[in-house]
Amino acid sequence: MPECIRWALDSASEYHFREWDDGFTLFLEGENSVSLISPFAVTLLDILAHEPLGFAELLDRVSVDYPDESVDALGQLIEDALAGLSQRGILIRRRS
Amino acid sequence: MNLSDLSPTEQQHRFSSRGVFLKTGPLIFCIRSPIPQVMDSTATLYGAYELAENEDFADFYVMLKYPAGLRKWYHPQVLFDFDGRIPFKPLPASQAFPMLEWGMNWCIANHCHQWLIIHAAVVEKDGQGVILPAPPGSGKSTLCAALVGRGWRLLSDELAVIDPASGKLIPVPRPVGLKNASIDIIRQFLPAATLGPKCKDTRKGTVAHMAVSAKDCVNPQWVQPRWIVYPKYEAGSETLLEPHGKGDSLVQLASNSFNSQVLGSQGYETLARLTAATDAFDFRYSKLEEAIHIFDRLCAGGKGLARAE
Repeated sequence: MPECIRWALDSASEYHFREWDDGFTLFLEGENSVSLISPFAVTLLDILAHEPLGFAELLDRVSVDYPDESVDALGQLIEDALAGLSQRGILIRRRS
Repeated sequence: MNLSDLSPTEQQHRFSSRGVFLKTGPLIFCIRSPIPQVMDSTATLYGAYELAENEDFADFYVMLKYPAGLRKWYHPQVLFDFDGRIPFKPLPASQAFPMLEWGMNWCIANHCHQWLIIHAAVVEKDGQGVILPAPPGSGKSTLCAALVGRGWRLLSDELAVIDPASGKLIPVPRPVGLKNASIDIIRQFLPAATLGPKCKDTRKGTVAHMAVSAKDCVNPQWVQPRWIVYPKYEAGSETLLEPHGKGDSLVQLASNSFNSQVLGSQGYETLARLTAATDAFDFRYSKLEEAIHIFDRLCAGGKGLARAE
């Protein structure tokens, strides 16, 4: 994962979460899109709501919420979540 | 007064002049056409529909007509005219009535943005609504036709129309569109049903429409949605009803919606309320009798239906 890339929430949209039995729906007001995302992805978005972060910084922050997971497993979870969220336009990439 | 109360001569006169003002749910369509197939099929399939008392206003003014010129005589075609515009390319004249049906669906889905509209069939029993969203080929219309033939009320075969304020389903009952093998399946399953003529070689294959029961045509009662059922016909499969996650159901409803994007946050809130107020299921079937039995049990509050026998 390149060090110079940071992820951020798109400031042009508002984010509305709802919890269901099988995950969270996220409605992006602005894009008017609806996605189903995992609780882990919600944790990631909650962290990124405060400031744009790179991969290593995200790994540090997420480790606090998931202390029982190995670093490798968490790294893979973050990579997968970032890919899914950015493909759906929920996260944007920034060069630091 | 219903359409069938007019004499054939009077029907023909109205179709050819000021139009027939037909009521479906809260909507009025003014239909004009000089094409015999349109007049005949409309008389057969919409005979029990009420005519609007006041002909000063219709929600949609539509006309099926021949293009100008020699084309009327050589490989004749038909045009769908909406408010004086031609939104679609012409089709062979033999497809005039299916084109009317598709065009009427288009009118509602693309213009009634006071409501949330989802591509789905809707049926009701004992005041409880079932929404059946599904892609083409899933057996949605076949199942819908079988249910309404066995006492379920039809609200729509194609469009779940939802009032954002109350969350209730609004009826817009119109003939059930059947395709290919399902036409003969329904003919055998419901021998007393009124079916219009088969129209071959359309973009959907062979199509025919089944008339709505007279009482459903004129029932204006809005309905509380109770279940979302995602049907899937699979030849030879056992009848199986399984819970469908609500979050995924909401996403599916959004992707099947014609206008949730137009409605923005109001559309999403309406979808979320609908999801919260309903139980969602996947439903696989191959035998209509068993399928109807499951729906009847669902309606009766049957326990243990998730993984039905």
